[in-house]
Amino acid sequence: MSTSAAATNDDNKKVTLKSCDDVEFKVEIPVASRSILLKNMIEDVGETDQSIPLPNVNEKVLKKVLEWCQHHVNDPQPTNDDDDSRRRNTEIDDWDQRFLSVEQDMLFEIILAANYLDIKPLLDIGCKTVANMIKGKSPEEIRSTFNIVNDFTPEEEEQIRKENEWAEDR
Amino acid sequence: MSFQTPESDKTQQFTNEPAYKRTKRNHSTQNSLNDLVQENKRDFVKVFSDELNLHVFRYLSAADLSICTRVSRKWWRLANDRQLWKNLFLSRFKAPKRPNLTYRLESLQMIPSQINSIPKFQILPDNTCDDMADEEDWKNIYRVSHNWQTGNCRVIDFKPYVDFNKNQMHHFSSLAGSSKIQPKIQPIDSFTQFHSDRIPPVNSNPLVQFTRHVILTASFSSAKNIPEVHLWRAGKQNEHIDTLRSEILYKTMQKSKFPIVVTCLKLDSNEGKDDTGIHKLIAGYSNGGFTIWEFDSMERSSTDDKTMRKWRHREIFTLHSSRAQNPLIACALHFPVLVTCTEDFELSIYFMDYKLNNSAQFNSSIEGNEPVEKIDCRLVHQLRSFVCWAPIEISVESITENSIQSSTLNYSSRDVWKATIAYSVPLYGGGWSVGVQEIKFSSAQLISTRHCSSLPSFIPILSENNSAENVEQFSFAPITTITYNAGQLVTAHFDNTLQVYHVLEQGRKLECRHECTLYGHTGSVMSVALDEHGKLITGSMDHSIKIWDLGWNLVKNNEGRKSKDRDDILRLKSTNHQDTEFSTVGISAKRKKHGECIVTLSDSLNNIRENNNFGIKWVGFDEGRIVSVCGGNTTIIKDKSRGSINNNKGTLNPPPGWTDSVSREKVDSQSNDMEDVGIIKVWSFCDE
Repeated sequence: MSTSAAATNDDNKKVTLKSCDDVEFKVEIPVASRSILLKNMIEDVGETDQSIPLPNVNEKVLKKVLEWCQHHVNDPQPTNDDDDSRRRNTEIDDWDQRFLSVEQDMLFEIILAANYLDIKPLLDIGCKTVANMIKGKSPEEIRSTFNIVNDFTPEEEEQIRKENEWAEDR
Repeated sequence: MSFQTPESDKTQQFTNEPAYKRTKRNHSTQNSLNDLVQENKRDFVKVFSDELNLHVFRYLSAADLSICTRVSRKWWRLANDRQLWKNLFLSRFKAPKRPNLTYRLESLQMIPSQINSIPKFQILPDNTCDDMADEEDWKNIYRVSHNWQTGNCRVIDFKPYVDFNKNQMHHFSSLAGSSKIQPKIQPIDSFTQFHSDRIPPVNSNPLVQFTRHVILTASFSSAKNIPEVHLWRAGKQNEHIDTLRSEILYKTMQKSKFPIVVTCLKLDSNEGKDDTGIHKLIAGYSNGGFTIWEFDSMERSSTDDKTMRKWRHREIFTLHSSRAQNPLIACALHFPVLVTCTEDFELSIYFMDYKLNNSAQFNSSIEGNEPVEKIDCRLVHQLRSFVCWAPIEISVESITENSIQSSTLNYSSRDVWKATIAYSVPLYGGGWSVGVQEIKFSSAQLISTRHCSSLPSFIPILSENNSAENVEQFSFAPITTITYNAGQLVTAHFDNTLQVYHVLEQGRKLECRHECTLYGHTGSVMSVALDEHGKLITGSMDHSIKIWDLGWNLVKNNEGRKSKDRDDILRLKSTNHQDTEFSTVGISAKRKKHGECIVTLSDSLNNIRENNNFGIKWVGFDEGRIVSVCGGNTTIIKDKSRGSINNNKGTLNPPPGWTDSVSREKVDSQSNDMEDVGIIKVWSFCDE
């Protein structure tokens, strides 16, 4: 696209990724490089025809993650120092929101994959999405949202409720 | 899978299913069609690593995190993560200089208070919580700060003398020998007072001090007719725990014609950072004398009998009277330095030396005759003023050698102290301002004195159209009370306003700069308390307590001279310069304007609102609590003659049954409203 000559060269080069269930994906290097893990690997190994095995990611999830990488291929690389501003900002853009409108299992798998592949922006929006599922809910609503078994005794729960009363919005 | 199941089927299912599925089913009755989706729902907390879980929780607010603690044990552990709370704290509050957690630790030693009497159950923490002990409890720090900001507190109130005297009543009723005394409440209209005769009222607020565990009040003693200081513990029992009275004074008092009362009360401001629980207290008397006690503010079980509780105290020095017999109106103890001021403005600086002596010891010491250090108190210097007006506030601090070396004189003596005396100054043409006298001294001699006062740039009365900026700088109403801490000076006036000044060094000169006027109270502010961070608490006759921010949350405190800090603050404010180290602190800094009232605590529990005499007369606070006293008797001295002063300086009135016939004759004006002893309230922002 509008990238430099060298980058255009890169664009054409592809790398093969292999999911845990032995499905291979041919991916352009800039897309794969959204993952810091893959980026470093590609830089270390150099050009290779061998596929890169990703033992922690299955086909379904890898496909989804690569879809995200493709869409965000031209985003600026996140820097480390804006860690905090990253945290403050809880907004997720429309495309990402639609992208993450998936079942919980898939969402969690994406977060785990983003964490493993070291794709910080994807990890952030994934975690934000989960946090948004928690926000403003009562403990009972949270439990039913995530199918959590309440392992407190009623006395314990009452005690914790009392201890945390102060923080409730009023 | 499950479709709408008939009722009969469902009950059968319940019996067959394991317990956890049963609870699930309970929810699914509401949305049984979603059962398939429910199968998909998973507790991500169990899937993710802790690191990932915390990443999710990082996006949650304090309120949401608190909700999360109630979800399950695993969620409870994660949502209480101290790093999460530290981030939340730093994004909202100024970082504390030294996060104070003494409350947490102390609460273990204290008898649980009324509210928190439920015994804490133990949730077994996961092994990751093990290193928590040596780290700060950020959630608690956040919580206390949050409570201060939002005025979220618990109130314990008690009427000390009334409760106390239920037991004593029958004993003294025979002594008093009179019929039932009808309480007569005499509200004092300060405005009438001030407009009619313009005599500045002498600050005769209740004499109260408090440490973490103990509230101290001064009162008469009925039986012996000698002044006493009572120690109380607010909480479940609201119990009276100790009485301090000077034996030396009692011996000499027999000759005195007038009853002697306590006229000022102050705790030692030089208390070590290590909380030993031993405090020193000075009480100044109406005859110019004073007593210094040392008392133990914590219960200590004796070695022999663990159930026996001991509150120990000892009298360490008493000056039974001064030459002139003038009442002390202000004092400050910064051990080993004592500064007192009499009613006619004679300032005395004392220095205390230890000397070994066998006679003095803790009154309840079981061990017996160990030699105990005795204290020798010697007068270093005496100063006289003809321009001072009450009220007066004295504050003493020790200052480092460095700041002294810059002066031309070189003193070999190790320690130097600085006394700052703030007093009201009448302005020509009406109005009241404040003057500051700074005295530096060593254990042997006076080093320097400096003086400044805050005077408006023009004489207000001459100006026809008072321009707004200048009018703000002073008040026409007399000052009710003054407080000074670390360069900040606050005066309260009878017209409900507060004036804030900064006392700073400009080269070799001292300057008292008017900073702002605080409005908001609808009654006279009778008591003001200020800490070194700029947290200001005011108690007013309008039955409310206000918490003000004079920089408390604004800028982190640098080390070094306080006055320089203040300049930094001003510069920071003017250039909108963001503090780099705590850039995330900006939220509260931007939100909170300097000198903004953050919280108003209304004393609405008090049903006797229309009675002016039940306003708040005294406030004090520490990191976790405000202690206030409402009611009590405010006596304004009209007659300047000696006898009436001696009588009227009494602050907390003799409680019912506490005055015998002799003292009732002397304090005739007070004997009728003996009911009026004041209600002590403890507003707690932390765990107790």
